[in-house]
Amino acid sequence: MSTNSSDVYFPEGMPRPTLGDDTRPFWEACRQHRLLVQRCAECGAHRSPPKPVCWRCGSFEATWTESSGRGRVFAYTIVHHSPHPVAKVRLPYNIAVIELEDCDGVLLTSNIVRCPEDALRVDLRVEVVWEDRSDGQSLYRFRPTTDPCR
Amino acid sequence: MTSMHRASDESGWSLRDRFAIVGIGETRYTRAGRASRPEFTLACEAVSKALDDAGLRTGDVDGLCSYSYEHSDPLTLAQALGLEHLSFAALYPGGGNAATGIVHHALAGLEAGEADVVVCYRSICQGQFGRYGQSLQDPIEQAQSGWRNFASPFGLFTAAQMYALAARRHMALYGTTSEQFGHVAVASYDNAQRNPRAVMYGKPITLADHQASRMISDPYRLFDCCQESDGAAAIVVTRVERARSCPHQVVSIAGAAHAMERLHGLDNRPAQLWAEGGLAASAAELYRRAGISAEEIDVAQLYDAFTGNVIMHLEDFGFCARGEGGPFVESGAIDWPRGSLPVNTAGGNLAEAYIHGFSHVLEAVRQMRGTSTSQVAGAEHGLVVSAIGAYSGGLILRRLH
Repeated sequence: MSTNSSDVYFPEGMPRPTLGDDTRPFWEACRQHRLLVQRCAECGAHRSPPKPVCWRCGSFEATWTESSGRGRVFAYTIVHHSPHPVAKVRLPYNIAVIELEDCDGVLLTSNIVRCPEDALRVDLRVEVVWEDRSDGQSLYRFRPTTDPCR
Repeated sequence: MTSMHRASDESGWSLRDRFAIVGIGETRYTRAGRASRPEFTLACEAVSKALDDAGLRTGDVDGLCSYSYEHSDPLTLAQALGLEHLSFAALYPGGGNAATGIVHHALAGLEAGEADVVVCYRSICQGQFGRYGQSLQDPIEQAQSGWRNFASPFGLFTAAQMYALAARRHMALYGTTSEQFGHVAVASYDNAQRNPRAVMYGKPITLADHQASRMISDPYRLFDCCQESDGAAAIVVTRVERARSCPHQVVSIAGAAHAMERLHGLDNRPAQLWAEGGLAASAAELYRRAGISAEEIDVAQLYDAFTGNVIMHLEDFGFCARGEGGPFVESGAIDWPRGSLPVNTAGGNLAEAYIHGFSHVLEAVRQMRGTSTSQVAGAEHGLVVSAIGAYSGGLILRRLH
């Protein structure tokens, strides 16, 4: 899944993630265009975003599962008002919650690219695409797996 | 549910009707940034007015409680007001869930004998200390859950955006429409036209106005989002025996219940909770504690940061079936005076003022006293709900005979 200039969703200057103990492997994998989901090393429960402890069994030991990056739109909104000076330039933009088809169906917040806003809908099937930001951090966006306008 | 049941007995609730709200007080409510005095001054004024209303003095108060992002902390307030002896104080966690939560918490102090008169209050002047949704990088949040790291790079910053996602989910599952959301706004603005305290007093809207209002975060339009306000509100809670010597009709707390189920919260929450208020367990427990059912609730004050939340809370509390909240509000069921359940009779967060849900508690007391500007005739039981999808619940107030 290659980067395409049309997948650059926001101009420069958006907030970038801060890497912490729990999240560094996730964001570093993004730079290699790999979408990881944290998984409890003891009981196997997936969790997202990363946390220090398993909600199900209490274990502090965790590993990572690489997701296929395929899923469906769980919810979305089209934003017409934003407090952020850079996001304001991009209005209107969409925010979508994606339910991954693997990794226990964890939900990820992202944006849908290559899709007209009036074609967005809940349950739209999507797949990950990668946007290489100039600050070195690649971000995951999602695109429809088939032409949503057909 | 386990912990709730530990606090209860089989027949009901040991705290039922043992404590009462004996005083209410509030400052003038204005649009955010319009308060002419500091937030702390407003907090002092609201507490002072609530004590006047209760016929009590500051020297009677031994408990002070507020919640979430309150800047006027109980100890600073106790010193300024000259409390003689403060033995119970708290700042309750969360956000809009806490308006009723802190009243519930006050009962713990009263029941334990740590206090005899507890004042719960909330002061909020978003113009003075920054607006919610604008603190884009909270270092504590980033260090703990890191949630913002997984939201702000994708343009998700504000409560309107978060709750728009939930509203979309409700629309997709149940066919709920923007017009139905609009009906909640119009009902609230209608009530505000009878309430001179309301910031939106004299500013009525129609459904057409709602539909023509600018889009904020689709499906939410301007009139789906509550205001931002400056103001403060306070209530006084004490034993029912003591309440009988206070000036007003005794308004008892018939039930209180708040809970957070596993994984409730903003991120990582179970899929089914997106189109709910996350209140079903609290609602069942609240009815059980008060010993009444949804049919016996005469009037409700529901946390309305956004219109869709009201629809979800109506479902959570069993006033209609799951998914039927849209048609329910469209039928006029929440309209004053003819609806079966008038809602947010002072105008709510949407049209009275955004005091982080606390003005809802004061309005519930007025309804039990018979002094609301949109009074429900013969109201005996009033529900107040505060909810953000975590540690949420409510109170049932009773006009005690």
